[in-house]
Amino acid sequence: MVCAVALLIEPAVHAQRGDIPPGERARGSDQVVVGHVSSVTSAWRDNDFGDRLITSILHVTVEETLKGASQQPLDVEVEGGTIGSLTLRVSDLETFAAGDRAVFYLEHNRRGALVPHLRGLGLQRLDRSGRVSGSTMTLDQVRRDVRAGTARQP
Amino acid sequence: MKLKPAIAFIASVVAIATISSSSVRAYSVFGYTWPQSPVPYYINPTNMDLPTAAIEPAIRTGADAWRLQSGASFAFAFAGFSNQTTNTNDGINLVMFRNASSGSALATTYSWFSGTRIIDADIVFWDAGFQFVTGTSGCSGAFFIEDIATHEFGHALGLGHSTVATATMYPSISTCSQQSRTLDADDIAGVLALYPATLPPTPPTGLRIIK
Repeated sequence: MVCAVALLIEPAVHAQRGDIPPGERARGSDQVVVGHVSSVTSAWRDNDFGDRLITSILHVTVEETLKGASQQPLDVEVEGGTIGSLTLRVSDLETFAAGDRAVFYLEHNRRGALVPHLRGLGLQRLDRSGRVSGSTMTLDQVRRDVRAGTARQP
Repeated sequence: MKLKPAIAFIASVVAIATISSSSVRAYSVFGYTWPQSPVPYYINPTNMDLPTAAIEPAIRTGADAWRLQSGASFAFAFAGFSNQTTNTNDGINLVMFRNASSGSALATTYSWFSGTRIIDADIVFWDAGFQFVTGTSGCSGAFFIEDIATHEFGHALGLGHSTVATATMYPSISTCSQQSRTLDADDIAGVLALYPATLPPTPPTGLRIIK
């Protein structure tokens, strides 16, 4: 996966997906939660394009709901996973394991399952210090940005 | 997409590049390799921007870059066109365009592994969110397929992302950039780690011919 993000001052420069702020990610999401993965199971699923794929079903224990109805726990379907000796890896999606903590920006697919909004952009892993992995952004900053972003929605 | 000042981004890229330049090994690998070479792939050229005649050579440029520029003992081989529009583990390595968006991702590679072997790899260009062009000119606010394809075929042969900002396997690219079609030393080190170059036969040493 190679990705791009438009910037205001320098339109010719494109950055990593991590530069898209939480408020923007949250705007199109049905639900945004902070939670940790309690377990992962894999299953064969057809995605909205008709691709037959191994999908990881992340069983998420919700710690906090930032947008949408509070629901506990959640099952989030992410393309990629392992069944028996067969593994599917999808280049724009991270893999998650039990114990991983993240901000989940979610939408419903055609089957009604919860999937990451904008695919890889809908999964924002948190490190042990509560920061977004690979950045200096704190969970508090995520909370503020999500609430500000969703408050501006018409 | 969110608009934000470029200064922070530029600073972060400089920081990443500085860190990466001191790294001995910045590439990453999935831990799986193809058991055979060449690996055939098919193209479904149906897309929103370009004629088939432009698509094929651009995709082939990306696929061939890895063998031609590294000398690795591995190659992809164009096997023909396909009208298949879905991907799964079917043994058909497919490159296709999809009239859909994937956030900020230009393309996605789906890699299937069994044991330590790669057994299938499909590449999807997300055609709805971006404009694609081919060649070396005529680009404005678009992305060259040659460069995106080179990156995705890197995934298809078993490479993950690199932290070197000038590497083909770096996870982001600028509009109209033609940098990724040329492998960085880090990319070459990565592919050679997976598929070592076939060395020419070396003459035996210490051999004497006694008459």
